[in-house]
Amino acid sequence: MTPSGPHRSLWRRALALLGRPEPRPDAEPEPGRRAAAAWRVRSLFVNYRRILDQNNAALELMAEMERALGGEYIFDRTFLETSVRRVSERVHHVAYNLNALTGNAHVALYDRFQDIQSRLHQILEGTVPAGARGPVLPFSGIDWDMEPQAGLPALCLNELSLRAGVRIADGFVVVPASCLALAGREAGAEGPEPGEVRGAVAEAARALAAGGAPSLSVTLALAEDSRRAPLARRTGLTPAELDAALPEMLARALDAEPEAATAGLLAMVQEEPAAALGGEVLTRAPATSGPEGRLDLLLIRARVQGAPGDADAYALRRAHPFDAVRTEVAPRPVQGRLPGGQRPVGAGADGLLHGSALLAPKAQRALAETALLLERRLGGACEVRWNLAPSGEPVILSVAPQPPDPGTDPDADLSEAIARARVLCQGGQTVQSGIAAGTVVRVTEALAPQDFPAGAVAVAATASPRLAPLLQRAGALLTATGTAAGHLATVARELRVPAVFGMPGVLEALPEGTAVTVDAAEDTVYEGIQDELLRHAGSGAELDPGDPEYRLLRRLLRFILPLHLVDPQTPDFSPEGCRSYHDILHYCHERAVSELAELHEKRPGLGGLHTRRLATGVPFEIRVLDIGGGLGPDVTGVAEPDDVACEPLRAFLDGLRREDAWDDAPADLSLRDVMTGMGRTSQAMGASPETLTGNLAITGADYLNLSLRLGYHFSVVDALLSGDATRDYVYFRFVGGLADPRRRERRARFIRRVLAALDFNVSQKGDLVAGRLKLAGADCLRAALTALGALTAVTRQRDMAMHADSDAEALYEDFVRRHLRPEGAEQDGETRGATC
Amino acid sequence: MSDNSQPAAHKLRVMVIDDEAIVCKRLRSAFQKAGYEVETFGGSAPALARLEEAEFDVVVTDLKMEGADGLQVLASARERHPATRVVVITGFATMETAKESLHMGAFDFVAKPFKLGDILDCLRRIEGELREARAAQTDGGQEAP
Repeated sequence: MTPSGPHRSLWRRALALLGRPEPRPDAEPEPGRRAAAAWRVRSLFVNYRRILDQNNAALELMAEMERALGGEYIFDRTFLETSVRRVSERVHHVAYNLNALTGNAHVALYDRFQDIQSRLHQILEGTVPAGARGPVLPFSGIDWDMEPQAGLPALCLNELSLRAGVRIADGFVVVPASCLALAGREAGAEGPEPGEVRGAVAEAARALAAGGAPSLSVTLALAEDSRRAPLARRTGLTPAELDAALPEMLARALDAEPEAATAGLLAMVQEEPAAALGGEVLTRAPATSGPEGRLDLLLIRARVQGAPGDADAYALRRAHPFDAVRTEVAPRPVQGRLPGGQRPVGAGADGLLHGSALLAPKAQRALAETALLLERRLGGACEVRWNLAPSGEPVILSVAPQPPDPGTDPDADLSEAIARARVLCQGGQTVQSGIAAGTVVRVTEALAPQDFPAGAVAVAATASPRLAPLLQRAGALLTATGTAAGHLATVARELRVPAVFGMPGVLEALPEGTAVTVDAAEDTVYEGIQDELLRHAGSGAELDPGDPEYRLLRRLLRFILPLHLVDPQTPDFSPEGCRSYHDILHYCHERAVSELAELHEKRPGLGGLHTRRLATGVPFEIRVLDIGGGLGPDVTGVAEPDDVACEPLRAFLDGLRREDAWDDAPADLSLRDVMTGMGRTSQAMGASPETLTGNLAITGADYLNLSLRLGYHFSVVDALLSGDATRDYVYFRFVGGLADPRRRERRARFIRRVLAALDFNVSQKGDLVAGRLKLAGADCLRAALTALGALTAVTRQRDMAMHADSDAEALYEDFVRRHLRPEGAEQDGETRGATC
Repeated sequence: MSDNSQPAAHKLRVMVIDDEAIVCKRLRSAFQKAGYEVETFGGSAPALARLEEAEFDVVVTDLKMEGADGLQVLASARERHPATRVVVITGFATMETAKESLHMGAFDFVAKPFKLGDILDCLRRIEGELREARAAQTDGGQEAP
């Protein structure tokens, strides 16, 4: 395309000076080559569509696996094997199609795919590499990837410390292969040598002791059976004593239970901080007879360390606000002193009589909150050992599964209890199964997590990701809108917070302060605290982290679901940077979109293909290459706007053809402007001027790839409007223009502001402004395309007129007023389009 | 969720057969909450032996198991107690196995993974049918299906 009007002569002079021929507007290659070229273009877009389709299918499979973790589905091992196979096939196809699209520019993806697939197979086979990260693992370095090596209790303690800010007794884990080596058993070809393990243990123990702890404890457990009580435990050890004691303990455990060798026998070594007061919390109080026996209680025991005498016992309700039900204070001599120097019969600093109880109600509730957090992560009733630091802050020493109470019956008949309970709300979608009770607290994004009462039932209008920090403290979460997909749902499953989204009428039915019981698996909220239902939840009848299938799924998802590659601009955004299947999918999708956006530079001569002219009614034409469904079936000759069936192009044309978007006044243009502008345009696009073809639209029914050369500007619009909000997008890129650098910079800023106002994710590099809009509804995307049409027309030569910043500001304000006003606003008797 | 308005009535007796412990555990919990009497078995052999001793309203059986598979359990249960409804669950759902199951008299065919609500809806339909049959029997002396 060549400019029209007064610019044409300047253009010809410029080309003559450069020694470049003026492009002939209607030159076409011979028919055979034309057909082959058209076929190649169509195959590019077929590959592109395959990438989108396979990407979407893979993401749906991944989401299904992740939802299964929440307990919504009943699944078995076959489901896990089948899911891994199906998602692997999809991811492989995506990588294959990207390489087909780009001429094998990303073959390194296959290596990463193979690595991840091998790891998934190892997990399914149960053959996790031994000693992958060293003979011992410090607590602070344990994450879910190491759960087979470190065991669930150590992982839960570390997560409690990192995410909930609770103090724990620091320590390290001697991994299963190291334990076998220490015990003198066969540790496998990749297992460590006993000497290496002893050295690592001694070094880690010395480091712990150097932190000030007077002694160490060691606990033996099974990584593959987190429900099993510890096999052995010793306390009060020095590092030297540990060196002698640990091999002996391990050997004895293996002699008593040879199968422990294949069940992940490990050792947890922890500091034993000095404290005056300590005890344990049983998150399920032993069953008792009488009225209290029906209640769902936890039990806290507290005793003075190193002193004879009985422990205090405090029975609290497990539901927020953890009301005390029974307190048993052990007899203490009246002249004695309690930890902290307080006398039992004497006034405290506040002038009130203290009494001889060891734990104040506030400290009891704090322990209850922490213990229940651990129970949720561990997946079952647990015994939590604790002591109080000199500051009065609880320190969690250890967590272990609580042995089943012979007084409870997991098969107890709940039907009568459920029949008596009044249902307050029902329906929606289970995000994370589980049963929890507490008082209702309405939450919004403005609520700070520390202001949310721990253990309460959070009720929100929407499943906003910004509510995620509250989940550390929530007993359960209910929302009026939202689905089981999305970030908030993922966090709820990660933290195992019982959650139901999209619950009809939840805001009206559950006023603030209502005591409720949530059964998330049944999508039901009952009035009041339903103790029988809560006791059933603790009987191990629900899906929990102790189930092998749960652990297996969780381990698999660690290599499937997390998205590590986020920013395409960073060097890490590469095949080598892919650590999960999701990374591979995201990388392929980004690269595929980029490939099409740069299509016209990488494949010169596209404009010479057999295309149909589209008469737009504005001062330029577009040629259309229809790859299927972009134009009506009866179009012959020149197409008119009404013949366009491609939805993105229709929306774009609506904006492009607005009368008030065009300025026919001649540009304030000098030859210097022309020369510098041409060079910069082609340089920015990485191509020579003659390859910057005229306006070409490649269209399908729901897809558009449009390159426009308007004056000295070069823009690309790439859009998909399939109706699937998770895939649809609009991509826009603009570069070029004549005039001095300051005016061009003002133009770039103007475009950037407009894109930002349309909720695009925008980047700018010199004159090149690019933006992408995705995860928006169809109306938003159409409105954005219409606005881009108007923007394209407006910026045709507007940078020429941006002599000052005030000009750019005025242009922006004028553009917003004319083209971005909300629906329904009127100006001069006309109603403009909507923005979102 | 059980219907709070129903008077005390016959409790549905349900047998669950699956070699995956997680399936038995989850279904047991869900069915108990719904007010059903539940017995679970990890294999077809002990389940078939139990069917010799007692009648169940519903048998929920996996398809692929060691020894007698789900279709054999279906045939045996229907032979012993024609009124027993059998629901087949499987992770290897194909059109052929679905057709064969239904042809042999299965009440329903459910592919894993399935939502708890889906299987509970299935049992509630059976409950409804049995209730109607008993009511018809009481009113007109007609034979139950």
